[in-house]
Amino acid sequence: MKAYLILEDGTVFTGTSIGANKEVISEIVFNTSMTGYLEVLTDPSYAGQAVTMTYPLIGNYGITRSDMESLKCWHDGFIVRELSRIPSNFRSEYTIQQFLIENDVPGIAGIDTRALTKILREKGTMNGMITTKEYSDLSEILPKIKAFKATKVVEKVTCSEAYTLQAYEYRSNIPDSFDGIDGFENIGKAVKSRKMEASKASHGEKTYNVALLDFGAKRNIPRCLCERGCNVTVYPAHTTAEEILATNPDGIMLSNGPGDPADNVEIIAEVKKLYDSNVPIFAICLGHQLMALATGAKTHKLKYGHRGVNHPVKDLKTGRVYMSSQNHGYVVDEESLDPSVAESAFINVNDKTNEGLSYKNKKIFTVQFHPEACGGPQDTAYLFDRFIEMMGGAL
Amino acid sequence: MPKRTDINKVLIIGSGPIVIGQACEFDYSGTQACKALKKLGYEIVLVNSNPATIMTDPETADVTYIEPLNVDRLEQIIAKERPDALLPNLGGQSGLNLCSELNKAGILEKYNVKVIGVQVDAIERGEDRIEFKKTMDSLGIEMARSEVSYSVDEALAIADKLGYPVVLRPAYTMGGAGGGLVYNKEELKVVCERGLQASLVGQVLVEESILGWEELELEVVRDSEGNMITVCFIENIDPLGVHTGDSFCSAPMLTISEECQKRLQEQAYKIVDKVQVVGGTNVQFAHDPVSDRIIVIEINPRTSRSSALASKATGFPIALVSAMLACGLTLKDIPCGKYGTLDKYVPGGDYVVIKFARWAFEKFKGVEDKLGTQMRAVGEVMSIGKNYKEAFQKAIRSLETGRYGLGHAKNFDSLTKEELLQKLATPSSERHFLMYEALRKGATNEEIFNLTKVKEYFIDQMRELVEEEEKIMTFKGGLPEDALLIQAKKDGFSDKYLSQLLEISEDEIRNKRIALGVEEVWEGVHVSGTASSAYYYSTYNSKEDLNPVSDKKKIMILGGGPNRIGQGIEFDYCCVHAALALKKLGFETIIVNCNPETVSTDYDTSDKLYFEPLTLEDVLSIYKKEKPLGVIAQFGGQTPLNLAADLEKNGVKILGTSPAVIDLAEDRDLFREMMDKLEIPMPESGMATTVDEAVVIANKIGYPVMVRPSYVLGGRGMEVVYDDTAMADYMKAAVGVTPDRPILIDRFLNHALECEADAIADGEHAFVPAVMEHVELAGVHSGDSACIIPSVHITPENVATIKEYTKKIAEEMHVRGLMNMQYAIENGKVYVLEANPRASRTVPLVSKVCNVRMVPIATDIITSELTGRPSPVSSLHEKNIPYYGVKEAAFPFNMFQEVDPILGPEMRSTGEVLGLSPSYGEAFFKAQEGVGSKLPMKGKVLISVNRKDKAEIVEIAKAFDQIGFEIVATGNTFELITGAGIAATKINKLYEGRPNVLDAITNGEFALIINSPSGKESVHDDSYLRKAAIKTKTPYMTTVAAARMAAEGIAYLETHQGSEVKSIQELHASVTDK
Repeated sequence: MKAYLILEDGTVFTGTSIGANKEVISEIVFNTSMTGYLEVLTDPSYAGQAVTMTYPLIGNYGITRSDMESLKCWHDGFIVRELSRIPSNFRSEYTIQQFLIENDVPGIAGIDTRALTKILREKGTMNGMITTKEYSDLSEILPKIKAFKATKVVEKVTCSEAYTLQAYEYRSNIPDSFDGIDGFENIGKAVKSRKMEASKASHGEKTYNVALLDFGAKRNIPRCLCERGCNVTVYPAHTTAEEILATNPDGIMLSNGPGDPADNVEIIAEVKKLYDSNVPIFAICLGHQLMALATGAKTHKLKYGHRGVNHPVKDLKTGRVYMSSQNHGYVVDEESLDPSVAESAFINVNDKTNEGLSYKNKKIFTVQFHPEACGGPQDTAYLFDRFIEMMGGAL
Repeated sequence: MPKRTDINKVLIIGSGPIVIGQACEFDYSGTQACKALKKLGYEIVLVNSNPATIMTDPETADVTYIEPLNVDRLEQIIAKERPDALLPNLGGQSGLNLCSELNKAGILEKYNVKVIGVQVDAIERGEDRIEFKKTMDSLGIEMARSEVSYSVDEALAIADKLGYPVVLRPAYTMGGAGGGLVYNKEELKVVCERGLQASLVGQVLVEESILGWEELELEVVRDSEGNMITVCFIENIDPLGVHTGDSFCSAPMLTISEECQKRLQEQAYKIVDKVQVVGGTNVQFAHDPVSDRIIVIEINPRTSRSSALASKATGFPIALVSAMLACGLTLKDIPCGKYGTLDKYVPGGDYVVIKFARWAFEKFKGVEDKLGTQMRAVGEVMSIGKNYKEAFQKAIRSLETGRYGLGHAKNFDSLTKEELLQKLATPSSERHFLMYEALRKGATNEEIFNLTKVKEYFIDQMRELVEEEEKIMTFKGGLPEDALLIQAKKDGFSDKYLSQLLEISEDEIRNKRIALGVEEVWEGVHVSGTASSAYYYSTYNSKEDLNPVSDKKKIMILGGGPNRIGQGIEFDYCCVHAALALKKLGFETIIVNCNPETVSTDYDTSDKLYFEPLTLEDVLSIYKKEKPLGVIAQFGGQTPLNLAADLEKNGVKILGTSPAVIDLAEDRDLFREMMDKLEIPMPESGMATTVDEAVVIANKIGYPVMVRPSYVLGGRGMEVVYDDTAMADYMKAAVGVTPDRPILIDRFLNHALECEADAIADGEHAFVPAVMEHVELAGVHSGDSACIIPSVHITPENVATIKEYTKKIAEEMHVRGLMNMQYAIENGKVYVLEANPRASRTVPLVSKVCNVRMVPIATDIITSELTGRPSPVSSLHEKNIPYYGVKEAAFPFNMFQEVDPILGPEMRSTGEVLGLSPSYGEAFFKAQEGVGSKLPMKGKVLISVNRKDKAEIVEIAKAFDQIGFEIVATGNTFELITGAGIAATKINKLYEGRPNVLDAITNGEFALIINSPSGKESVHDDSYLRKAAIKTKTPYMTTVAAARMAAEGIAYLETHQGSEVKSIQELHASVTDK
């Protein structure tokens, strides 16, 4: 079936419909990863967005549920040049087409993604509509497309109630179906993992209790903590600071998540209270932005965001550059930082924007990129070790 | 970190002659290394025995030695040049092995030479199977279960434990030489024995079979501070069981999940960090898709074929960067446009790269077309496309096998599904073409997967092509509907293939699609390590052309395409020089080529590189886009020449000698007419298209005759025929004989000295730098024959005649550029054999020996109509050359042990070496040394020759007797020799009882073997003798002429001290004008 991608500036791409057959308006962003489409599809930070993959061939190794970063696909839409008809991977359980349909995500294939990306790069991120309807008069729908704004996206992706993952426990989150999945609610069965067992053997007995605020956390965040000997309690995004602090956690982790950080007014107020406590805090992506907002800094929207697995970031302390996985449309405004509160710890080498903060006189550091990777380079996984050290040294 | 200041003079070792498993990728990496080191201000000493390389050009390094690559020669050079450092990891396995050997011999220590880039113990950790396994164990990285054996018995015991099939891998070999997969004890015995001999240390690994697993490669670059990046992830589409050099590959990996790639990278980093390589390392993994086990197969702590491919696929110049890193720079010191500096590099891009190998099975009678763990390919192509189908089909038409698509190869479309599936059970060079037909005949993805273990994604992509092709074929006789044509082009169907499917002309297809607005556009591949350099690939899957075109004066050079026998690195050498010369003349240069191993496809050889197939469709599109002043076709060998006429028909301006002249030289009638007119003798000849015609002509001329098809390179299909029956057989077997393309029949010149001459001509005048004398007599292909330059045994009168003929012919044909002439001298009379008005295989040789820059001069002439520059020909003078160069050919017989290694009119060598010395004897000696069969100074020499050669053998025996060799001879040869009063021992032939000559060879009793084949007249096959010589690595000569030269070489070194090694720069300085 023919499908159209209509951008808010009136550009129309014609392709073939993939996934669910429904019309959707969303923010159109692009991701430059050559592989790791499943990790992208299941990253909750993409809630409220339709993602274009710049690599032309997508879906070749199918869908393997145990590689998912959350229990379902949160995209509003998926845009590719060529969608693989048949996956070629022994572990694969679904074709990407089935996966999109199961998750009720519409999409479009067969369009010139390089041309689309070029438009987004030049004009900046914009909204668009994916539809199979032919509109003869765009002037009717363009205002509607332009007006779209994703709201309440964190609410959509966070878990509905708290749950705990034990240290060295590996949860294989394999949903039986994608219907009605809501965040981390269905945490799946604990299964044996060679890696976790090896990790336990080398770490010993001591464990830490970490509270993870789930704004749309990728699974690899709790996993990175569990494999370093943390018992991780995952809390819904709207849990109060009091409730969390009452459990006396050794450390608090603020997760990644979707949307405009400034929209989360209530959460920001709670984060401020966490800041005021003296509990060590590590925050990633949206969590990083929320902590900045809570302490008086501002955020702004980037022209076309950083989405991909090859974003170089520089650790300002060591001068070393790491490749990082990134997915963010907003960024902390460095000029708005109060130098007595926080200082820049990482910057993006390409556009020099802020990629991380270290807080003064606090055991708090936050990064904009994704040290948990999946997909992308695991160069910065050492930051989790730093968090462990902050909580009381290596185990 | 800044560059190292504790070293100034760096020695680089090249990889020697082109052989299977080690091709021109090392000229590319070595040349890049030289560029990098020069830029950093180091003085470079370079050693390589292969003259057909850019790296051995006098301008590339500061001091260049064209010398055999062995410890003795290297010590002489080190003693003379006293380099501070040795960079060993850019000269392939040969360079690496030599570094190890130099270290073991204590030479590096003696002369205080530091090894940079990779440490000697790291070479061991990477190459020695036991060391490697230990290292992997300590890292907790799994390897295939295996054990090392030093004997066949040990191997048998291990195989019993592991269970058959098992893989045998000899240590320290390249291209998997001597290894293989064996299914039973008998096979194991055979292969293991071969492996033990091939291995430098007599060590063979016996390993569990991982047949059918995914074979995955990572190219990792590490700096001295331990920073690492993965340049490229390569997926072998042919799973394990087929050597990676033979495998069809894609980059990036197309069916491997992110999670798996992460694990591979993690393990690769651990390994590379442990082995501490500074520079590029190739890490090969196997992944079992069923159990999800990953095991490491091997690492190559050096640049490799894969690294050349990875460089060209991603735009990351691994060799260049490796050389800089070896000198102390770190990744963060090297700029990289998009990322700032290289430490931030991550593979990117939105295109698919395909590598496809090119084989030469048709050259080796008796060799089964079967792929295994030993590499068979002689070359490869790389293609870039927007999607898999486009890239795949581009790769196929890049191969220049006369196929422009996947379907209807050979007779495959007439086979049944069952027959096709049966053929698919064994991997062969035709595998993917067979798959295509099998799909057409209704084979399911599963059926094909079960036989080939090729991933279903790739099978299904192929299925889609087959389905599309079937749809297209319903329009046979006309044009398909527009939508279908547009889709076909997007999926990579070439114009030519469509025209074959539809049985209409290629022009019709082209015109139609252009009318539909379906034209190639080009996208760039950014070159890392540069600010903004890029090269280009075409696609039909995009509208927007991202390829900026300048309005400068431009000239386009057509490259040589994939390496194959008969078309090797020499032509790439010519193209590179043409590009450099054109730059100097002020032109913007454009190169079109698809061979990833070459210097011509290095990003800065030309101003603009198109990584594209050399077909009419692709070249015309580029021509239309770039609008160059003209195209040079004469430097790229047969590939562009075959295109030239069609290009000209389509309005392309061909510079230099016109395609009509090329045709004239190929047209035997016209050429003979011209020779008659010029009163230049040619051997009697004729042309035939049927058996009857051929027999009549042959009888008129008189047997033996030389027969060959017209329009071929490297003497393909050429044979000497002795009687009517053989003639009939030949004609029946000859394929594609048509009145346009008949079989040529020439009188076989008996006992004739063959020689050749290269000329530079400006249309009116010609210059011949030197006449080359072949060591082997007429009947041996010029590419396979050893050759002396300048000539030694040709009389001055004959030399003068040859030069005069050459000039006359060049002038008569109005050759503008280069020409190669082949002659034979029979009884003092010079005959013309053939004229090739184009660059020849010998151009680099003549250029280097005679210190004449043939290609730049020819380029100047070719462009004179544009530049108005005067012809340089009149200013060229003959020179006194106070030394000799002897070229010797390198053969892949050790890879094809079923083949009788005799020389004939069909070319079978893959590469060449050059020996240089003031004495031609020593030069010959060095050339033999260069191809790895160093002549002995004493010992037993076995002489066993055929009837034809008996007349001369006494003289040869006498020569060996005089220099102190003990002579052993068989049957009649023995009678003859002793009859002449020379002492000799008799030995039994194979059928004369034991112990026999084969026992003696196997026991390594002979220092040298002289054996000419008994040929078709004999009832006994004597090829066992020569095959045994190869197996035992005993130097052998199969012609009396070569034996004579060997005796002269040995005699010279007996009486003289070996001459001092001299650099090519020193030698050139000794050349004076006549």
